[in-house]
Amino acid sequence: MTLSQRDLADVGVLIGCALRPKMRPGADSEYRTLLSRYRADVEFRNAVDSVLEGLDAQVLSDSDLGLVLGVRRESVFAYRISDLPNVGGVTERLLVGLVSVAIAAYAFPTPADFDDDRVRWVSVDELERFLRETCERFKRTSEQAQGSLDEAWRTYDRLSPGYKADRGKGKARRSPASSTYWIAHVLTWMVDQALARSAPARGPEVFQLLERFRIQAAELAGNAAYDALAAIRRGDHDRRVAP
Amino acid sequence: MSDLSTVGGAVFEESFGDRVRALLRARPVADAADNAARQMWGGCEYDVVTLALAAIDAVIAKQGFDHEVTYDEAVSGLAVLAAGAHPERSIDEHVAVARYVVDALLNRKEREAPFSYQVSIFGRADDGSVRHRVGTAEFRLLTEHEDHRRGVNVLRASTDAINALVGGLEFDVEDEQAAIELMLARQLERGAFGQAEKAAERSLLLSIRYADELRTLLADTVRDIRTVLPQWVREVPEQLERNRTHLEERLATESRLLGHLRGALDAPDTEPEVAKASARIAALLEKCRQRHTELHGKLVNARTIFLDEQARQSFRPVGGLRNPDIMDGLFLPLLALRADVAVEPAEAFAVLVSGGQVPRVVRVADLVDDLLAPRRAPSPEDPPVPDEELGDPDPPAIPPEVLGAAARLVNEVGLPARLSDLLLSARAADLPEEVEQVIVLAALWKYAPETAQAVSTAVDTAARVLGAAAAVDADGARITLPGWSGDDLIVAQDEEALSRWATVADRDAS
Repeated sequence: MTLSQRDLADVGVLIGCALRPKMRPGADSEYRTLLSRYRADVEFRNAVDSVLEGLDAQVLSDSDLGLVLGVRRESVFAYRISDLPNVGGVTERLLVGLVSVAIAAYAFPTPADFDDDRVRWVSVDELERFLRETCERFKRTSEQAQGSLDEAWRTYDRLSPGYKADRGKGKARRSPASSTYWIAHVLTWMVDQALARSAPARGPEVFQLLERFRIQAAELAGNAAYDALAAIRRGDHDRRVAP
Repeated sequence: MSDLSTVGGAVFEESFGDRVRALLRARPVADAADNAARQMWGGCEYDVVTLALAAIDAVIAKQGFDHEVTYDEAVSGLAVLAAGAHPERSIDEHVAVARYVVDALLNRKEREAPFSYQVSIFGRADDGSVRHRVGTAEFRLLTEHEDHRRGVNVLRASTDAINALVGGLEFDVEDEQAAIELMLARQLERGAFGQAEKAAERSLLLSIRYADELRTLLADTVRDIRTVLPQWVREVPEQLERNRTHLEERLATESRLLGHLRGALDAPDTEPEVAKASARIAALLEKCRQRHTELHGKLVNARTIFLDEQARQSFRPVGGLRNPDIMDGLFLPLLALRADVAVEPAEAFAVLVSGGQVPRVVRVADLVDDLLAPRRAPSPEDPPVPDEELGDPDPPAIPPEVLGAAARLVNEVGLPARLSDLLLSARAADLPEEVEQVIVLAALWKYAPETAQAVSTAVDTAARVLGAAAAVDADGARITLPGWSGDDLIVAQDEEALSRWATVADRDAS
């Protein structure tokens, strides 16, 4: 049996649903039907997977949460960090990256933590403290070792931890020169991407990391970033530094 | 030495450690009761231990079903109990007590870390002297999980909590179950119904724990088959086979017992108390049987899941299978790298974790409009302030009079009510046709929200007509009113009223 044109249209509908991370199969009957078809019908599943392959994306998970897509960086669907407000230069991109990794490291410190699907909470203040303490540790060891002065942690360490009035108008606002600005910035972005949700009942600026975050970090982002790091260590880095 | 054998010898027994650990499971509850005195409401003595057990019980009752208990449901349930204990105190205080109890079971104070206690492990050295070492016992009682279908957080009781509640002892599930059946049958013969009921309750708890064990195994299998492969090779197939025959036996036994109980009910000379007790037990056993049937379905599928996962995961890239070590493998090395080098992998993580976006295509018409629009104040980069309102609400598509009439009508009829009753009274009151439509739409929205368009408007409308906490469910009854078709929905003012309705309806039906 081959797939009809109608089936191929369904493939498109399902991918369309998967690209809207806030859509839930529980609330949308068509999504639900197509999702169970994806899980049961091998031919349909292969068609969806192949189309996604062509779009440089892959299915990371097909639970009741919906299809969770992993999008490779070369894909048209890949997020561009520079699309975020106030993120233009190298320093800003580094900060967004570091804070993202820090959130994952804080919520899932060991590999085994990814196997536990209990809810994880993070707050801007907790993360700031966590990053600050890590920086302090680096500071202590580097004083003895006399390392270079441009390691990544110094970029974070240079930011002030508190609120900093931004040109002094209106309410107390954070300036991009404060570290909490960047943490709040990344967390708000994650809320937009349906990776987290704000939990005002648990205190100011507390966020719940959603299941989607666990899947993305465990199945794709963690290992891919680790591979990038390993490639740098293997020698890409040397070539770039001393061409 | 001789002293030891008479006084402290028990510590060397094999079951001793188990008993210590079993006792430890109660400690978080005891600690919470101790600390209660230091709370704002500490002067008023609430029974924290009872509330804690009630919370675990409430969680277990729905565990594994479609609608597991949420944090808020657990809190409101306990608040009712607290209110029963001290009706003279304020509602806020009752809620605070309930929150305190649930938070203590979750260990929120320690950021949901497992409870951890030190235990002494005694042993004998070769020369007969006593050896002591310190071990740690770690466990959780309640955990919070995301319900994928509903998008809310639900509570689950850990195996430790279930066991602590069952009796604080680690039994082999199957043997315990058989023992309970036996006990129940005997108790029925002797007419000891009070105990029989307790036994049936324990049998239900064991079924739940059993299902939980299987769920964990299957979840691990789906996640990464390699972590459970040795288990599947050695223990699991045998275990599954044994479980399957065991379950079939249980299903048969329980329906036999049910028949037995019904016999007691139907007998003409049954005392009313006995009849009442056996009716309750019969309901319990029915619940057990449902659990078993469900479990049986899972068991039958287990092997297929294993084979499917084996086929699926063998084609996955190896890198994707292992869980990443973010802290030591990524985070710390990244911070130590030179800033300009670290950008690349750090950004890679952020991009990949974000899950992508759909690129927006610019339409010329929009572009022209945007270019001609007056300049906006530049402030999109701020984190949102919680109390900020997002502009004015859209003008309602339904005239306010119609909404008001619908709300008044619902108020007059009173909830909970059948949808058909609401519609009938709308017709009787000779209201415009829109009123009927609004009521139906509000009920449907509460029953199954669609996310297609204007969500906030729909939520507001439904809240205005039916009340903010209204809950709607179907029980299969059809609507018979001319002009409408489908399920005759039950509309209640809140979840609790809905469940009360369901209980009453169940009782009427039986």
